[in-house]
Amino acid sequence: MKYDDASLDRALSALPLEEAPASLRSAILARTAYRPAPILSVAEIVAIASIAAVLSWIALTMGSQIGSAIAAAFSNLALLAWLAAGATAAVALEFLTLSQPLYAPQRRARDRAKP
Amino acid sequence: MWEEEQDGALVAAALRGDGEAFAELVRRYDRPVYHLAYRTLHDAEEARDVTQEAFFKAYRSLRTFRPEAKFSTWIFSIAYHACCDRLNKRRRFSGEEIQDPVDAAPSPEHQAIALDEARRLRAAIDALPEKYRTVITLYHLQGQQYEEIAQVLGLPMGTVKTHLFRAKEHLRRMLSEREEP
Repeated sequence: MKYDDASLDRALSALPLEEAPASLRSAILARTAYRPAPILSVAEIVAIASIAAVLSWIALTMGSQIGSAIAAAFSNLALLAWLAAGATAAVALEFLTLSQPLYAPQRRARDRAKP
Repeated sequence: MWEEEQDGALVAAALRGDGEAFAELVRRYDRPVYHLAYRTLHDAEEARDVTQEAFFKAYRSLRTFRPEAKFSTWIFSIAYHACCDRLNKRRRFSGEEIQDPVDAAPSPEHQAIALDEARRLRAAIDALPEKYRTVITLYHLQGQQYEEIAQVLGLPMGTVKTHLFRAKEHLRRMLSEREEP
């Protein structure tokens, strides 16, 4: 068959596309649209990392003083009692679901519902 | 035109956080993007990686997509640049220029071409030099729109037309040569 411009165009248009590997689409979707939502947002991760960095810095610069202060504090019965009361209250509140965990999908749904 | 508007609406929905809208764009364009990557790179594994990379980049930079542009042109452009990066890496590692196969003798693979027209045409496209092969592949994918091909390749429209003209000349010559006993 001799090809002129029109017949070559027709042949090119009729050329089927390459068959993509079967798992390609699911692999793309798993990395993009269907990627599981992160539990923490970027802002939350930054906040937690900043707090951790500050605490580490304090621990490193005042290590020995903090150690002796903690040892002194834990030998104080009144302070231990207050800490126990605080922990009990936090657990009780968690059971009563008065506090909600920071969970990204719920937050996103809430944000989307906003006008 | 209707498809372009649909693509634009899907991008807008994806930007509002609708994952299903982006999934629809993937369903529409994963095969054409893979086709472009495979035709440019001639390697199924690399074509697969480039296709994934292109959609991942598009997903991450969806906010930079201009609403007046065509999504197909944008995603083809991302994929084409990823292909160019890989071709450049290949050239660096091999330490030599990749041979321009157009004037070389046909390989045994090409000599044993099937009688089937599509396979013959594919073999002829594969034997084209890289710049012509990409232009002809986009010409096939983009519905013969010169302006969009020029945008994807980052070339002036005149250059695209010249490349296309020469690519077709080569194709016609190769196809007629192969028919002769």
